[in-house]
Amino acid sequence: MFVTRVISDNGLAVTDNGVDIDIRLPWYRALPLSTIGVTQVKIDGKEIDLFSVTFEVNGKTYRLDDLAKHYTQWWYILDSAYLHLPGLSLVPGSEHQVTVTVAIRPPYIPGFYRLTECTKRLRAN
Amino acid sequence: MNNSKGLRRGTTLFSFTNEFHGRQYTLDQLIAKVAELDLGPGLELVGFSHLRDFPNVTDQFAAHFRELVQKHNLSPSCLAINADVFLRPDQPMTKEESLAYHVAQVQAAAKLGFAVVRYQFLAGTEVIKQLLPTAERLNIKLGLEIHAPEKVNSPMVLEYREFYAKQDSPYLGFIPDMGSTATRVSPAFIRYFRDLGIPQKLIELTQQIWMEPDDLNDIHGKIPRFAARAKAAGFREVDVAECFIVFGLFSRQAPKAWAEIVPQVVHIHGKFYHFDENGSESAIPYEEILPVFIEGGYNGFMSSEWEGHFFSDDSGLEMVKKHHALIKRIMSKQAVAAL
Repeated sequence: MFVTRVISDNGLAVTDNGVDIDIRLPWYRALPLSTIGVTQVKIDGKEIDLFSVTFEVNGKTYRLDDLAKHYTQWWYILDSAYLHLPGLSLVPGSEHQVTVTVAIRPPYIPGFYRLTECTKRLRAN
Repeated sequence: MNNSKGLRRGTTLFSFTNEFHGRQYTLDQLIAKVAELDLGPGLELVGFSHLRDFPNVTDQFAAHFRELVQKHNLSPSCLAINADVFLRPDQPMTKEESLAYHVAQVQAAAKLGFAVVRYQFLAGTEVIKQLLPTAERLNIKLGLEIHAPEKVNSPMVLEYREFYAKQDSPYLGFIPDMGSTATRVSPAFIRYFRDLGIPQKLIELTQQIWMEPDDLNDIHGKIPRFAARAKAAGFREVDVAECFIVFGLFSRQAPKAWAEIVPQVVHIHGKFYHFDENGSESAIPYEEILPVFIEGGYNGFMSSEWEGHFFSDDSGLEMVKKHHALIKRIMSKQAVAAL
């Protein structure tokens, strides 16, 4: 079910300038980025400032508050997207509780809004 | 009555969203499974799910797909297309944009060898009227999905029925979704909500409002009514939003309601969620529903459509096998009764 797959298993990675989280689209079909939002990211219970978080899919990176503009860019259901959390430092090999909430507004269901919140304990790679 | 050409079994790959989204099976492997497990011969795909870059379909992929269905003796019954009018959430498509969006999807269906496309309410009768010549030229039937909370006699459906009567084309039809003839909130969702830790009182409120009679003039009214009551009671937004889903996935209607439109039905979505200990669907009375179509002379496919990816990690393959067993049981009883 989608609720357990928003955050990919083994989806926490330490990078040169922070941390990446591998996430999946919690819906059965591809959606344009304009209908997608990330409304919450927490690491070990601490809210991450979403202003600093960026979203990468299909090799392109977007600010979260810019996603709404990109109605010709799609997130296909088999592909991972990556949340980049700059300035965060985790020790490789350490375990963390990660929460991500993804919001979608399917473009064929006016007024419908779905939040999918996922929490997983992951080892930082 | 000769039912050999009547209601035929089939499957939509939507049922295998857990397997596909979970990267356990590829498209080709799922198609092979449908044949191997005798879940065809009808094969339905969802364009934006199963085909990357849809509605763009390369010649190479189309040739591969046609070869694959032929090899497995399957029949491409229906391609589900979408009326994505709100690609820009704050600025709906113009009629011209929507028409072009639909034309491209119907062309993709023809290229892949499908007989029917499933389209959605949001297309609107004006766009469908302009789409009709393309559908006729490409020999593709346009089937409007009647999906919860809409009903055979809700104003939106009546508008299409009047429009169809004027057009009088065999290329215009309906695709009833069995989720709109449910009798209660599926126990599968109740269990899922409990597992998520959603408060029992909120689950009860969801069930209570779901069971209330629908107001035909305010067919989408239950979600705002539920949201207002749940908010007033102080429940968490994320929990309330999770419960919305039951109002959009299934709704109440008497099985006999379908009888009025059976001659215009071009495909059926055999939606299901959960089985009871007797192998019957726990909230959708197939024993009452299927005879309405069979006795009405329905001639076409029903795709078994499990929507379990919302609440379960179970295998869609196993669930569709159970649904086909139920259909076979009902159809054999029906055949005996017709002797």
